[in-house]
Amino acid sequence: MSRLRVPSWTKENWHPSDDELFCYVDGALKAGENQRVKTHLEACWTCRVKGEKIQASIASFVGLLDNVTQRSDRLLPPRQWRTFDAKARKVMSEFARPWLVSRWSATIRDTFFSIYLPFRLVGGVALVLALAALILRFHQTASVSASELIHRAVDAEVNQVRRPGLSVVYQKLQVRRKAGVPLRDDIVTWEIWNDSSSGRFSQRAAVGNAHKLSHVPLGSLPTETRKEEKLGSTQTGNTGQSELTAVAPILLELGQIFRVNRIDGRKPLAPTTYETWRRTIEPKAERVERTELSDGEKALVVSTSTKGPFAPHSIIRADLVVRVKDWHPVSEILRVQGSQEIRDYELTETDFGLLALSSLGPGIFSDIAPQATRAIPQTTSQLVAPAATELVAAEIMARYALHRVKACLGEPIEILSRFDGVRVSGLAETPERKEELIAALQAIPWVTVKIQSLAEAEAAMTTAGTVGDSDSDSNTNTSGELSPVTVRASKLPIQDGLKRYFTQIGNSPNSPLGESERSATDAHQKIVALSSQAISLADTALADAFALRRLAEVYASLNKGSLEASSRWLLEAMIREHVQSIRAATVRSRSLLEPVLLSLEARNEESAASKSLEEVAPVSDWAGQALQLFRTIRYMERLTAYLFAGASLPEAQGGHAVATLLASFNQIDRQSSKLADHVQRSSPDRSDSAVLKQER
Amino acid sequence: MDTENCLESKLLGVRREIVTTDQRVTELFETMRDSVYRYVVLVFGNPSEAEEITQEAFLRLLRHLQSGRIVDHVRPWIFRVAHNLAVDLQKGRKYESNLDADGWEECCQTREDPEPNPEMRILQQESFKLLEAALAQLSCQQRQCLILRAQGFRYEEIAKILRITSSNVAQSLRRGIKKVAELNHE
Repeated sequence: MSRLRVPSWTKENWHPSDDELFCYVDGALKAGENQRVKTHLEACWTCRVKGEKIQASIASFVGLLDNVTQRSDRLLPPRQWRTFDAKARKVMSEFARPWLVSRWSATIRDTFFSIYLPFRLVGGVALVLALAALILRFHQTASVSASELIHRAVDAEVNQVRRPGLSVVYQKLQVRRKAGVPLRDDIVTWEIWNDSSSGRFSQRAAVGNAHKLSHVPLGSLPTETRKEEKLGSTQTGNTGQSELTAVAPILLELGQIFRVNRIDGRKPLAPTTYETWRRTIEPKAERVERTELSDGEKALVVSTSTKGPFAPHSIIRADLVVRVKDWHPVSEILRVQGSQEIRDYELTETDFGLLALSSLGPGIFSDIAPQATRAIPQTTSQLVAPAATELVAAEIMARYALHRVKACLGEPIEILSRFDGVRVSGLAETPERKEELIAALQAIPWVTVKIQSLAEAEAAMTTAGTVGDSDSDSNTNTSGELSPVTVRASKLPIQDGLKRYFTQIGNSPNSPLGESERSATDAHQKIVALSSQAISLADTALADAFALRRLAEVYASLNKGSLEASSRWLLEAMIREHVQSIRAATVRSRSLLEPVLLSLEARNEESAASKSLEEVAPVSDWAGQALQLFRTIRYMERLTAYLFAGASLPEAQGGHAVATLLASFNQIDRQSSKLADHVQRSSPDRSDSAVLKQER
Repeated sequence: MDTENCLESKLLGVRREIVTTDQRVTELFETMRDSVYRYVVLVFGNPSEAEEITQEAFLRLLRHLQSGRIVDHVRPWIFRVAHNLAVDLQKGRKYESNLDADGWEECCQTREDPEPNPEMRILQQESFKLLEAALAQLSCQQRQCLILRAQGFRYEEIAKILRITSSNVAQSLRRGIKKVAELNHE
């Protein structure tokens, strides 16, 4: 049955505009418009006559113009072009001897323009990109952010104490105080020795010929001033400290500043110290600028300032100058709130070195005992066993090195601390991975590496004639933790629900019949894609949870306060990064699954909409919280595997699996936030807060 | 027009051979100078200046090509340069100059008439007067558009020469033609 055509009044009443008609007559309309006007003119007398009038007008103008101009001899120039040749010769003479550069540029230009256009474009774009890369490279040093700069400097500081045999970090600083009335400018030379092997510390201040030695960090100085004490003989302990400050009163002020701002007085000019202070302040404004040192070396200045009001001795702003060549801090300016005025303290490094204990002069450490006792007596002069703190530091460095190359996420690598050092052993899948792991671990003191590639391990087993299945199993950290997963051949527990969900989304209500088969295929493909993504994300979160649990188990009993600043920083960085990774995977997993699961929940009237996981008793330590988080993630992973891979679920909770999975996302979110906050609070310097806030 | 296009393509073909550029420009000049001059003199008046402007436009083409640069479409390029030169000259004078009576007289007197015929001369003078009257009715832009269109330029080319839009060109042409027609009816 043919449809009735509805008359289009708009079409029937259409006439070309004057401009359109003129353009049509003048042959200036586009093909489609031209045909439209032409069709119209065939039917419309009025417009046709108008068009003819336009044609006649054009003809009359052209006729008029022709009368005057057609015969060229009727309109000739006064001088009849007689001067042109002379002028042209003059122009040519200007170009008779082109400059060498212009000739070259003309040749290059002609060659470039003779290239086929697409190649010319590609060449041009490549040239622009190359120039941009060159410019970026030129400005590379200035492109670091404050966090990145500090991070690099901390890495450099951690790496520098890895050199075996050179355990003493020596720093000679010039401390200058700049202040207005009533204080006068003051300068003092301050030498510091830090023995990383035993934790011993020593310092010496000198003003003119007077110099005093002390072993107590400035930050531990008693609050009351002791300016009234007179110079006496060199002694140890607090007496020595007071004499030190008597030699250089400026150090007394620095001690108060360090204490108020919770700065480690043993390392006044160090990236870790700066980072410790930097993370305690909120809000803060930061800026990185390029500068040049007096010896011509390039350097970057990171300036961190905060808002008031300020208590006396609070740092208002700190500028740390870091040499770009080796990311070593060379000077620092602390702007401090005094009781009545603002004071600037400038710490400039004049000497720095890594020294052997034996090379130190008498009196530096000779009068104090090492803080940590050696684990075993030395057997030979060459074989020196590490101190306990050194061993822990080495172990954390090794863990951090493996963490950086993501070897902590389920790879069969084991770290074993023994009395004589840290042993890292395990299997790498490929020789390349083995090289990567060994490179990451090299130069860490007291660490021996014994990593084999799979091929090497197999060859070794064949040679030995024994099959070491049990050994290889024991190396895999994660496999032993998981209960066996049974994958059923039948359909998923929520297969029907998923199919319904995707079919509804894929089909519009008015879709024609015959599409159902195609929709079913599409829905199946979508279910497969969703399931694989869900399983993959859950696995990612679980891998990080295992790594976090390992840290919690190993370092649960260790008081983070007793760790060296660098070790504490590394441990916190690992915890922080694992928590962030878990949160990222959970957020992605949640955004992927929540719409689907909520639609399934809406159909399941029996299940509780507000299903929640069992409440767990709150724990106060970070390790306990990490273990709780691990358990929740493992449960979430099992539920995901049950719902989207058909794996068996040990608990008889299949009926509420959807609601429980949704609740587990909430719980992971809560627990990870809690752990992050706890790390922030428990750390004496609240080191995580700033970073967590930044990275959110 | 065909000759000009042919020349243009020849010029494009040899533009990288710098040695012969001046010859080619001279050849182009001889072919195109009258149409350029006619445009300038009819639109802006003053035959002496129109001659200088026309020559200068071709000399600039010569310099342009000699310095190794490229001109893709020579004819619109020359008209555009000539137009800009004339506009700049007018800006210096601060007023618009039609071809005044003296100018027309100069045009008429400087022409060469191989066959002096009093009757033809009267007819041509009549034509000049009619054209003068018609052009005087038009605005500057209408005059420019009409004469360029009469020189065979397409709307887009006119728009580029005058730095206006194609729709402006169409509008100017329609109104200009309408005015000319009204004058004819009168």
